[in-house]
Amino acid sequence: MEPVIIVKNLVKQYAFYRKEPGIKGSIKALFYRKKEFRDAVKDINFSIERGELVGFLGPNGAGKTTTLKILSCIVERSGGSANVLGYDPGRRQPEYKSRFAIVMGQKDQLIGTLPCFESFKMVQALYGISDKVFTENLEELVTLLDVRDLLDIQVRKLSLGQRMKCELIAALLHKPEVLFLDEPTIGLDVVAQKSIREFIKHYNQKNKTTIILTSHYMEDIEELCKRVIIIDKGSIIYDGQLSDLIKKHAPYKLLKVTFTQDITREQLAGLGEISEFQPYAATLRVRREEATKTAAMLLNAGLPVDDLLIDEVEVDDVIRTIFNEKR
Amino acid sequence: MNRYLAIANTWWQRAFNYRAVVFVYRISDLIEMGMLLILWTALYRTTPVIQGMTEHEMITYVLVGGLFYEITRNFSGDEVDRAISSGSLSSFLVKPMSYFRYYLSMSFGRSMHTALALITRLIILLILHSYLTTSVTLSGVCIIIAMLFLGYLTELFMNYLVGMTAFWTEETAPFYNTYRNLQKFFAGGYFPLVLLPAGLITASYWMPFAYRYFVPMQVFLGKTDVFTGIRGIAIQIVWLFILYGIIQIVWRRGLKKFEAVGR
Repeated sequence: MEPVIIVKNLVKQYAFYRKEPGIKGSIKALFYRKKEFRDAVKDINFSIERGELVGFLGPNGAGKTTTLKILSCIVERSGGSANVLGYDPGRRQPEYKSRFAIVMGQKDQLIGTLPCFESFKMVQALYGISDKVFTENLEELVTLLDVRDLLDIQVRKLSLGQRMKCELIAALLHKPEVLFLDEPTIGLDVVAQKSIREFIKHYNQKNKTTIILTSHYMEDIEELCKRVIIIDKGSIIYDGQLSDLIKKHAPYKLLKVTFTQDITREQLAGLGEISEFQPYAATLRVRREEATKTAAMLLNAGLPVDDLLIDEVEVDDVIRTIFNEKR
Repeated sequence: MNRYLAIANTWWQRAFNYRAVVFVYRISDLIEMGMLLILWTALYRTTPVIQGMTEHEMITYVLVGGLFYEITRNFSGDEVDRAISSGSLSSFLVKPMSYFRYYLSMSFGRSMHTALALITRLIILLILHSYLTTSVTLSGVCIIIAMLFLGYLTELFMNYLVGMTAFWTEETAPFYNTYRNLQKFFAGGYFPLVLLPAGLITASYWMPFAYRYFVPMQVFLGKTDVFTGIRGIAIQIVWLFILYGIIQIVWRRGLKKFEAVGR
């Protein structure tokens, strides 16, 4: 399949100034400021095929949002090339803008002082959506996100979760082929997070929309993305299947055991590395290929085992390990 | 066309949410107008004519000229400045419409403020109508209407330019204040330009600002001929082209600096 997003040697530099502390520094800065540059994105390469839902991971300031901003015509790149749906985002062509959308969890696109329906009407006008298509799309999205009762309420009176649902509707009314989601679940409670996640999953599967998703919540990534791109300090440090990442960087599994009565650490000696211990429960890290054997040993060791679970390592931990290894 | 109307309509609705702001602006206008009337009335106690203008002509200049100035005024540059500095410009950059066109539509929508201003101004004109005088002809009325429309556009373009300083600086208020003071001075908003030295009067005729206040008032008072009016309109049109060109250049350069920081 042909990729719809191709990024080659992409670079973005931001300029900034340093100021010495205190009044002296302020006066000095009036006459002379030293300009410095920071690489937000350093020579990154990736391509994404139509219909893929790719997770973009990385700590704050890693370059995830900057990459999305470049791809969505918001900021200009300093070097390299980008191509989305055959367009160069740097040229900011209206034809391209009609075919993608971006939702930023920390930025409001709706007009706070008006009911969200008014913002939707403005989106309709801006994108030149016909009344028929507008009504059909709005009806579908309103039903899926269950926000029918919210359409005539002032946006600023809505909860964060409700607002994000309406932001998604505003972004999807023109049926974009590519969707950039930057922290769409940030600050939401678990129920709202889940509902947004389920919507994204459904929408991607039904419409084959190509989606890049950044999120700090691993549940979002685990549930939605088969493929992840990990970016740190402006460079890509991993691009591949999430399952391969876990296998590669977490060559162990977790044995989570609860006991009917208190035991001591010594009683677990030799079974594996104890990562968590309480007198009535413990978590052991064992090599992936030895997990079943160790579980059997644990059950036959004469310990008062109440329950035993063989679990994968949290993706969050895997990512943290990768970042720690790189530093 | 629909998209422009939809944007204007949205902003028209939004303007209703800021009734207090609109009200305070009106009070501020009335205070300034009142001060000018007190000043000129005091000056005319000692002399019947100042630089060829009678007291009634001066009162007309303040009241009707103030109305012209109000019609052509707008504050939409604040929105440009806010969009750039808060980073909310991002949500427009991803839309398939130029921000400048969006800005023009928004400004027409925000003219609700102007509509309210006109009501208060017209009430005052009605109350003080016995002090007013005019020698305007039909062609003069047409010239005034054209000048005010072009003056409105010039002010929109200028505000957009000043608003774009936010690409380079976090604090745009000094630029606005400097611009507004200068343009009001050269528009004849503080006093009629006839009080200025000849060189400055000539210079102000080549700038676009005098066509929002002083020149249309000269036409209204019958103190200038049709030719000067038509030449003025031509100067305004040339300025609009120049400003549009500058806007395009500054916008392109500004976008290179834009980092979409903020909220």
